[in-house]
Amino acid sequence: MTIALQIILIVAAIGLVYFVARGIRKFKMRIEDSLFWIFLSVLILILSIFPQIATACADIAGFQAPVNFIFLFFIFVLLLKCFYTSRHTSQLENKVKELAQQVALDRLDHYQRKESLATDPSHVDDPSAQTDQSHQQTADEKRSEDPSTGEQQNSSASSYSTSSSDCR
Amino acid sequence: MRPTIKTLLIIPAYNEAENIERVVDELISDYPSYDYLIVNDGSRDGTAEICRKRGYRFLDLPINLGLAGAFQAGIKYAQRNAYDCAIQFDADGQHRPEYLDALVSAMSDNDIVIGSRFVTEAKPKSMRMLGNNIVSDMIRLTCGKRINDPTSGMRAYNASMIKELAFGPNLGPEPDTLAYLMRKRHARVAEVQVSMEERIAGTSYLDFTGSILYMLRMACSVLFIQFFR
Repeated sequence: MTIALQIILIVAAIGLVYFVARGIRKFKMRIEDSLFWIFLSVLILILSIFPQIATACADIAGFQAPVNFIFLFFIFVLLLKCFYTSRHTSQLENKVKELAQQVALDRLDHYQRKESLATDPSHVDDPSAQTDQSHQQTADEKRSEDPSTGEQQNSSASSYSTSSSDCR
Repeated sequence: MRPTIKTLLIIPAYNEAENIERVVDELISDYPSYDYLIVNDGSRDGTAEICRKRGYRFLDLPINLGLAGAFQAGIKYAQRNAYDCAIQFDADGQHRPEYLDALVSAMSDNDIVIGSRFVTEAKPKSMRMLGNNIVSDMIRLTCGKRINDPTSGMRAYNASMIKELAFGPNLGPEPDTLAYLMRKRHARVAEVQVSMEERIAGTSYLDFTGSILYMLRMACSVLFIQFFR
């Protein structure tokens, strides 16, 4: 490995760490996601400071030049990373889908409750609004067990048990 | 005993159907002066249904976010409702509510109060405490302050800390956040001796690979990343 290559690798490692640090600082990157890139830069740094490692591995694997080994190694690493990123993206897509569906269901539920209130304020439980099984409520919910601070208006729309108490 | 400041107990819950009623009923009956908020983290065992049926106050996350996301949701609620103090309280019964008053009273001249198992009691030098010891040493190295039980989940945060924690990706209820808040936000941290129960039912948030990743993340974050956050 030439000195020039070593210097290039060291600069690359430092550059990578700098970008990761900037990402974290500006709240654009989670620490868990940055771990891979930090370890990769450490690896690059080690390889550039101790080129004997690359030379030894290249000889074992039968490469003509150490730099070929470095190419293949990093290609494999990137391939793996790419695969995991695809997997992660799939999971995120799934989560977004879940969220969108839940929001839509909640909107319908909310709208139907409002409707039933508007048409008949004295009527409390509207069975037609309970399309989603998870929003089933027993008619005699114990409101007294909820130690709210005395605020009648619960601004948290996701807590259905307390928001229905406004209707009563 | 009535707390003098408006306090919220944030109770993150993931698949705690077996424990949640026992834990919350005790809070309601014996500690009514504390507000609570369960945060259901996308449980699949009927935890949400139990909360709804019993009329507990809870946030129902539509997907699983993990402890950090669930806790932060509770923090957002605390901020919106102008709570002076938010305390993380486990849904599995390991945290004991007897110590809540002690935590709250220590908030008078601290920003963060940790319910620590090892203030007056000695920390055992076992494998189980290995992670705890390592993190404790790392924090002492970088922040200069000795925290005996940095992985304890029973922590109280005051209003300014609540504001810090409410937004952003890297502010989960973990020791590296403590280190960051101490260094960059000059948080005053104190520990109060508590005792904790062993988990009775259900499974913990972390498994083996989770623990390894956790330690790696803590090491990176406390020893390295926090210096340029």
